[in-house]
Amino acid sequence: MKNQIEFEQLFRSHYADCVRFAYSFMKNTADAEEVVQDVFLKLWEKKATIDIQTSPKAYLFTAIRNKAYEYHRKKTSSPGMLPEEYLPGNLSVNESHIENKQLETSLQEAITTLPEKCREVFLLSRDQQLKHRQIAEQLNISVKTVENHIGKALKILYSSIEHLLLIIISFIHVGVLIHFFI
Amino acid sequence: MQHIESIYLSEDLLALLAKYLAMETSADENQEVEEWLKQKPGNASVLFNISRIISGSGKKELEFNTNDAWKKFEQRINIKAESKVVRLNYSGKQKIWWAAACAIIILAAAILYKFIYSDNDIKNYKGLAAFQLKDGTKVKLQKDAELLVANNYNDESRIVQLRGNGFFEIAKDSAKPFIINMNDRKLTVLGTAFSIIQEPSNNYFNVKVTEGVVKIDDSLNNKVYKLIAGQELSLSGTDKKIEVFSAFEKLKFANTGFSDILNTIEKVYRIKFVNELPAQNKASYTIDLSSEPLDKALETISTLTGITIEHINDSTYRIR
Repeated sequence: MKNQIEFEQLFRSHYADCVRFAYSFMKNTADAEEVVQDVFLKLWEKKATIDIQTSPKAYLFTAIRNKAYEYHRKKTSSPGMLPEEYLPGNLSVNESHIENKQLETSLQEAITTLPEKCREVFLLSRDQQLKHRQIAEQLNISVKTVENHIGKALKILYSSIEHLLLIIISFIHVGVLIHFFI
Repeated sequence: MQHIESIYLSEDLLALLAKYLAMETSADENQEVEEWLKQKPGNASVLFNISRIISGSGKKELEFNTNDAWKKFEQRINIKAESKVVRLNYSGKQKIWWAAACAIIILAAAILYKFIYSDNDIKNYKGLAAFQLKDGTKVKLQKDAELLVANNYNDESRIVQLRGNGFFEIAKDSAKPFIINMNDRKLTVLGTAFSIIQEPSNNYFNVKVTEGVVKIDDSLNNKVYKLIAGQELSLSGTDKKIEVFSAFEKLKFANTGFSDILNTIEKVYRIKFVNELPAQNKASYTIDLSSEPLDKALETISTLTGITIEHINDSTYRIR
């Protein structure tokens, strides 16, 4: 990155994905945005010495995940303790409701097709946000078995909604480009 | 990493990614995922998709605005850059080695301090709020205003970033001018009290100085203004049509009608009166309010006329 304009392009084209990715750790948009801001600030400070041209997303996601880990380690022992409902809702919407709804509907349908035990483990992880160890204790199975079930669930779910994910990502990228030219 | 490539998107890989996203991976597993991420640009998208499936983030609409986020980010990088510029200004040519040595010590101390005490470089104050900065400067922020203050504030410089309106009573320090950055303007201050009103949408900007001296670099119009106590600067209109006036002088009234006095005060202080005593409008008064802050001016009017002035909200007053 040579200058601020280039950096702004990078920021604008990845910000939405970064916030959504950070949200998966923080469960709260304000905290997710804070984490993303901090990560971009570090990147800005190191822009002269760091080369992320090959995969900016890989760098950003890794940094976000590590920042979120650091945040949770300091603040609480379990992630996702700050529900969105407690936040003021005066911000503008920046993502298509229809795309999300479509994705979630397809995902819910795909979840019903999972083998029973596999579905049980996956939902404990996704909806109850239990750690793998906690799921293992609750179901009286090993952590490795939990991991296997989740791997299997993801394989099935990913392949069943991959087509939709590709469409959504294409739309988001076109949206970013349109916004940039406007 | 060979085994991951050979079983691309295998259940093992997906389980590992899930573990990574659940923050339950070991250091070795973290490294494994991070190396995998670097292998292909598309791998980051896979991780992103997995995070959406696992977190159920699609169940909820996320509300954020990239434009606002970029503006906030710009403010953060500007405030950092300003801190660095001021530091460089203070180092003389002959003292460069000393300065370098000092800089290293300061940097080391700063890193140590940050490591031990701090997770953020910048403190973010939001209005309505009244608070004191570490040099003793008193700040009152109005509703929706925001003040960014670097953690190293007052160490070698006193630079803040302001959005919206605020009142400042600056602690005197001739070695470290107090600098307020706004979007297009910069205020440099040496021990003083003043208020700032900004309405970017109307291109309105107002500074009212009650004590000391304020220098304003108006980069929007490429002009510099210097105000002393009792002076006020208002900039309004479009970029090319700037109106400058000193309004404090307007607050000297000689045999002036009550309603005219109220109208002038409303314009100067950008407030509104709800007058429940229209009969009072017929009366005329001779009064000098040019060197008084708003609350004192209202007190003087109240004493002179016998009316009651009640503060309803931020900028509205009731006369009864």
